[in-house]
Amino acid sequence: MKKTSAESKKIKSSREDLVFEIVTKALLIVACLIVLYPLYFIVIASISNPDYVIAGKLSLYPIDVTFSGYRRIFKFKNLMNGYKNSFFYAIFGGSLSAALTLFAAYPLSKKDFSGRKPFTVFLLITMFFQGGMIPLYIVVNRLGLRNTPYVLLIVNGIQVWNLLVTSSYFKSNHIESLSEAAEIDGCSHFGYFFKILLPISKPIIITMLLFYAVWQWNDFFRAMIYLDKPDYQPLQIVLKDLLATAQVSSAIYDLMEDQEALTEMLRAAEQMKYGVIVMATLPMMVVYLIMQEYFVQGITMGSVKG
Amino acid sequence: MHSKESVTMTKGVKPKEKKTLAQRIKHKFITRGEWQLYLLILPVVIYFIIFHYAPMYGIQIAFRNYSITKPIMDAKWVGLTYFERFLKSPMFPQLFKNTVILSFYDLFIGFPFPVLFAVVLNQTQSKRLVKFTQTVTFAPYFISMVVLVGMLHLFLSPTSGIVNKLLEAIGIEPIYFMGEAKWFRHVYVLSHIWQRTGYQAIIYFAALTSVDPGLYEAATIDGATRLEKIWYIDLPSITPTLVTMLLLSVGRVLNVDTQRTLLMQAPTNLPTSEIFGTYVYKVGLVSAQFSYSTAIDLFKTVINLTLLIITNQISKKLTEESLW
Repeated sequence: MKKTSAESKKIKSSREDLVFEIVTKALLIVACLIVLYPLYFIVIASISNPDYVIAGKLSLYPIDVTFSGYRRIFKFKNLMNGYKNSFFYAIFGGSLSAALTLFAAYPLSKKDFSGRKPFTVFLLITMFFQGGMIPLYIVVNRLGLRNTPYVLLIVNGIQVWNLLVTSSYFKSNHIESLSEAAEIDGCSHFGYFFKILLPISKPIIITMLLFYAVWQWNDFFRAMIYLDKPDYQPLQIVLKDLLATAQVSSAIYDLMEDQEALTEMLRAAEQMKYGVIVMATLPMMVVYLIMQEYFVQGITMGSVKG
Repeated sequence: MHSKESVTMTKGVKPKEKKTLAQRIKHKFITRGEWQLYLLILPVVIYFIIFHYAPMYGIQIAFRNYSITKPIMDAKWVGLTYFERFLKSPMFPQLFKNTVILSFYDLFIGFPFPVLFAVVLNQTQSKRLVKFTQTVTFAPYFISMVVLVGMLHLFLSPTSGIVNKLLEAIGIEPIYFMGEAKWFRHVYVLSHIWQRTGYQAIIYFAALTSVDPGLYEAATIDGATRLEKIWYIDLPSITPTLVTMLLLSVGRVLNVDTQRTLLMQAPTNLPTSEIFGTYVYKVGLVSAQFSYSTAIDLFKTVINLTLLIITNQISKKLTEESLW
């Protein structure tokens, strides 16, 4: 009696496992499709004849392939300038922020550092209480940073969360015997940090570089507040002007459908939008796919602390 | 070993020689090389003084009639005038309602998705599919807000958007999703779920993968079903993470994503899309009423902080999880 019930339970559980496996797999595939399809659509729309896109004929594959959209994009000076600027901000801003974060995280990770507690509190306070938009604007203005390219490298350049993550990484990565030996040998904190700790902490260095660079690349709000001149504008600002006008242009399109020139212009604009989205997102997607492990590590390292 | 030794050393030294404070500081700072640690942290400290603490000093313009041409201290002290003006203005109830509704809608509709997603990921046996799904669903996190809103405009356009074409095919009139006030919140929350679920699930997934496999084995022997395992093993194991994340979110109830909202605003959807953050931006930087804007901002910060403290206390009592 007992035996059979155990057996039937076993059978039941294996059947249950099978059903479960099918359901979870199906759910994951649906999740992938929900994420991938819009992205895929953007790509095929950027190389299809815009007439089909506007008419809603496009679904699974590109129709009447044309690269005229991309050709127009490459001739669009503001956009290419924004592209160049954003690379500058991502590379230099990312490196500067990552370097300062690493420097500060090391003392914070030393248990016997006398300033550890006060500095940690000093930094944590800013996570919950900020001066706000206007007081910061006044400070930036007073420093003469407005309308300079430096403003985007500096303002909001250090994130407390990243400091905490980095310092907890260092904490788990300290080689006490080495640090001790280094101290006895008269090797300084500098020596230990630069020659021993940093070389064995590559994952966190790369993670910080990536996080800050991606953030620089994608941010638009600071540029909107602090930069008026088009010369220094990052890509996202150019994109904002280009993409946020979608509704306006389609409204005009409705009103003036008979005007051929305008239609042609809007047709081109529509296709450009898809192409521009591809171009703006591609660099970060490539970085993400190559460096995926580091991003995942960076996020989970943070969560372990919290 | 190292830290132990240093403790015994200071303990041993203090009573014997009775070093003065100055000597002790000198010992730590110079002899033990602590000045190097201070030097390493110095840039960040200066940075925070300038870009975080100096603005805190600037908050006083909320109580003064400030204009950008004069120093802060020269501006006339007006007390709570601006706060009164704001609380009496018709904007206040509207902003409060919009911000709170959007925030809670986003929080409670958006919250279960990454948790459930992580549970499903964890229950799936095929490691390759799990890895692939993670890679795919994390990707939207790298799309900028500007591009995301641009995508929404393209897909949801009433004339050429694919969504309205589909609606048309099943006989529904085109809907102006990005313009109508009643659609703003839904579009905001759904697009947020699309962009963030994969990213947020990583944290829960990490918590789940650290669960002791012995627990599952024991549960299997006891004849637990898969759903029971999820309920009694998976969910409890992510509760601490969940509570921390919820606490952080509740503490920012009035800090709904200003930038995302600003980008999604159209003149016609302002009745639902005008929130604290966007209003502070418009009053402050578009119409240059610095003091008034700062007062609204400060009001928001104080409420946020209060909420955070309250939820943290409640959580401490109920679940023994807290931020501090």
